[in-house]
Amino acid sequence: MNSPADIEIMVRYLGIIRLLTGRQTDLLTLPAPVSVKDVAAALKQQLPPAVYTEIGRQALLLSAALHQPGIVISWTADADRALQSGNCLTIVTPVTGG
Amino acid sequence: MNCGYCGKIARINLTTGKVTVEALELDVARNYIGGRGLNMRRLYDEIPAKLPGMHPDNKLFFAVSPLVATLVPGAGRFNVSAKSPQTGILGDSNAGGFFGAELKFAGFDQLIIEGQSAKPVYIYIHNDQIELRDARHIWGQDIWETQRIILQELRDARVQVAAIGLAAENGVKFAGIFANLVRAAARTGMGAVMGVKNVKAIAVRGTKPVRIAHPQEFAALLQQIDKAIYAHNEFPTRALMGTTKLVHALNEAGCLATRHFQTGRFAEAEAVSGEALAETVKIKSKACFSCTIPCSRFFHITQGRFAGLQSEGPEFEGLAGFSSRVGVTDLASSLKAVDLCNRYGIDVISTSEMVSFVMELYEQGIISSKEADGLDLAWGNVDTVLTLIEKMAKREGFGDILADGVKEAASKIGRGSEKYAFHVKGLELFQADPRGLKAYALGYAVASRGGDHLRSEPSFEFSNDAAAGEALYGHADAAFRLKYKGKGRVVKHYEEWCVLSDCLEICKNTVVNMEIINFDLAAQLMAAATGQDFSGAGMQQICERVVNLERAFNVREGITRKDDTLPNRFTHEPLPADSGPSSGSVVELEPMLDEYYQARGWDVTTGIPTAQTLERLGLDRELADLKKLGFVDE
Repeated sequence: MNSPADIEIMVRYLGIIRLLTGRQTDLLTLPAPVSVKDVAAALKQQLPPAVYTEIGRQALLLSAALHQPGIVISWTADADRALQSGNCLTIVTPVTGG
Repeated sequence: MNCGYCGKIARINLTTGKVTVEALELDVARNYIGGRGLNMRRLYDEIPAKLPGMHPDNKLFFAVSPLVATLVPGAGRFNVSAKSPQTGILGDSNAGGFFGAELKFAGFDQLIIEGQSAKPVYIYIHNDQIELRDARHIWGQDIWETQRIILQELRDARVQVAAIGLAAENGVKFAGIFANLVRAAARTGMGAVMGVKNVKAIAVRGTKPVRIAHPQEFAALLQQIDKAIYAHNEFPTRALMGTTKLVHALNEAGCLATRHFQTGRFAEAEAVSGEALAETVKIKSKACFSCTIPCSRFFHITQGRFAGLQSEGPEFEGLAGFSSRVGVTDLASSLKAVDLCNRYGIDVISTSEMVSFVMELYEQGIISSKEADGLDLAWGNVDTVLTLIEKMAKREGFGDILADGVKEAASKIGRGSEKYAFHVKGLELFQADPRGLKAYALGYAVASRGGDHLRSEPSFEFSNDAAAGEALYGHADAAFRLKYKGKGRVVKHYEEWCVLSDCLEICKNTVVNMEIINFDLAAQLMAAATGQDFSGAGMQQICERVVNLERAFNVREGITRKDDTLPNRFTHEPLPADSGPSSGSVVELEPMLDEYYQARGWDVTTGIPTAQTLERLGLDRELADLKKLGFVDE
C-alpha cells in the first residue's frame, strides 16, 4: 500500500526505449519529495544498463499528466526539478532530419 | 579518368532510336562531382528557358557519382532531373535501393534521355549494350507488375528496374519514377516527363568493376565511417524505425501536420506511429545497396480489411501524410494508401496535400460533396482517401482537377481555395509544420525545387546548443527551433551539405542527418576513390556553385525573392493552443530571408545572385546570361 507521502510518476516510453523494453509505460511510486533525478535513479535500477544508457540519448518531456502536451526538459539541467503526483515524463526520440 | 568515375555518358534519343556514348568531360566532373551537380550542369546547358515540362524536347538526366557502387554506406543512390512539369522550374529527385549502383556497374556516370518514342518502350542497359524494347504490353501496368514482367522477360532477377506507373502515363504532374518497387524519386514530376517520352521503365544490369585509386586509404575511411555509424546516438533508432520515428517525435514537439496543418498535435498519433508499426506489422529491417543502416522495413498486415497487404516502408512522409494530415486514425489504412501511391507511381507528399486540401475546402464550405463526385470529404474517411488517390492516378472525374498539383487545382476551383493550397513554387510541403521549425521553414521557402525539406534539412536547430549557435552561425538562437535569428546562415550551410549528399549520391542519413560525412571526410573519400586532390573547402565551394547554378536556372525562369515565400497560414496563423511546446508560433520569414540572401551573396531586394558571387564561383556563362536577360546589372 502506498504511503500518503508517496508520489506517483508515469514514465512513458516512445521510440527506441519502447522497442527495447517492450513497455509503453511504467508507473513509479516514490517517496515525496520527488525530483527528476529520483526518477532517473529509479529507472537505473529497473532497466538493463544498455537501455538505461540509451535513455540519456533521448529527448525528455514533462507534462502534467499522461497524454497532455509537455515541455522539453533535461535529465541533467533539470535534475533537481520537483515533480507532482500524476506528472508524466515522456522519453521520446529527438527530432532530427529524416 | 579511370578511377571512381566510369568516364561515360549515354545519350539516348527516343525520336531517332539512336544511342551515343560520350566521354564525361574532366572539367565538368571536377566542378560538379556527380549526381545532382552533374544533372544541374546539363539541365542548365541543354534545356532552354521557358520550355514546358511536358514538352517532348524536355530531357531526363539520370546520374550517379564516383562513390556509387563502392562500399561507402548509403552510396547507392541516383538523381533524376528535368524541367519540372509540376512547378515550371528545375525538377530533381533522387532515390536509393539498388538501381544507382547497377547503372554504375554497367559503366555509366549519366544517362541523357531526349526526344519522344512513337510507341511505349523500355530501355534495357546491359553493360555497353543499350536497346529500346517494345513496352506496349506493359503500358497500363502498375509499378510492381511492370517490374515483374520485365524481370521475367529478361530472365535475370538481378536486373534493377526504375519504372513509372499509371499516373505518369496519364500525365499526373506529381508522378515519380520508382526503383525496386518502392524507392521513389517522387518529387517534382519526373515520372510525368518519362511518361511523355513513352518510356515505361529503365532496366539495367552491369557486371563491370568500379576502380578505386587508393584502395587501402579508401578501406580505412570506410572503417572510420562504419565505426562512427555504429557509435552514433541515432543508429539504433534509425535501424529499427527509420524515419517513422518522427510521427511521435514531431507530435510531442507540437508540429506534426494535423488535418492539413490546422494544428500541430494529432491526438491519435499513437495508433499510426512508427512504434505501433514496428510492434504490430513489421517483419524485418532492410537496407539499400552497401548501407550499414537498415532503415527500411518490410511489413505484412495479417488482420482486418487490408489483411494480406505486404510491402516495404513507408517513410515518415507517407505514414503521416495518410494519417495525421488527413485525419486517418488506423495504421493499416495509412499503409494501404501509401501502397496505392507506390503502385500508381505518385508522390505521397503531394498526394496527401491534395487529399487534405480538398478535405479542408469541404470543411470550410468551399466545395461540396457533389463537386467531388459525391465523395464524403470529412476528415479521416478512409474510403474517400483511397478513392481520391485512384481518381487522381487515373485522372477520373474530380481526380482530373487535382492531378496537376495543388497550385493548379486551386486555380481551377477558385472561390478563395488558393489560401488553402499549401505549396511553395508549386511543390507541396511535407508533414512537419514549419511554424515549429523555423530553419526548416526558411529551407522550404528558398529550396531550389520548390517547397521541400530535403534541400536543406537544417537539423542544427534541434541542438539547443547556444554556444555552438553563436560560434558557428553568429547567433545563439540558431540552435533553437522556435527562434529565427541565425537561421539564414544555418540554412546556407545545410543546403550545401545536402548538395554534397546529392552529388556524391550518399544517403542523407549518414551525411547531413547523422552528420558523419562532412566536407573534409567527403574530400578524403573522393581523393582515395579518384586519385585526384580534393579539400574540404573545395568540396563546399563546389556545393555552393551547384546552389547558385540552380538559382541561375530558376531566375532564368522568372524566380525572384517574391517566390521565396510560404503559405499565409504559416506566417500569419499561430499554431493553436493544443500544439504543446510549439503553441503560438508563426514563421518570421522576411528577416530570415534577408539574412539568408546576405549569407549567400545574393541581392537582398531581388534574391538574385550578385555578379561578384557568380564570378567567385566560376559561373561566368550564367552571369552573362542573367545580364543579357536583365536580371543582373551590366
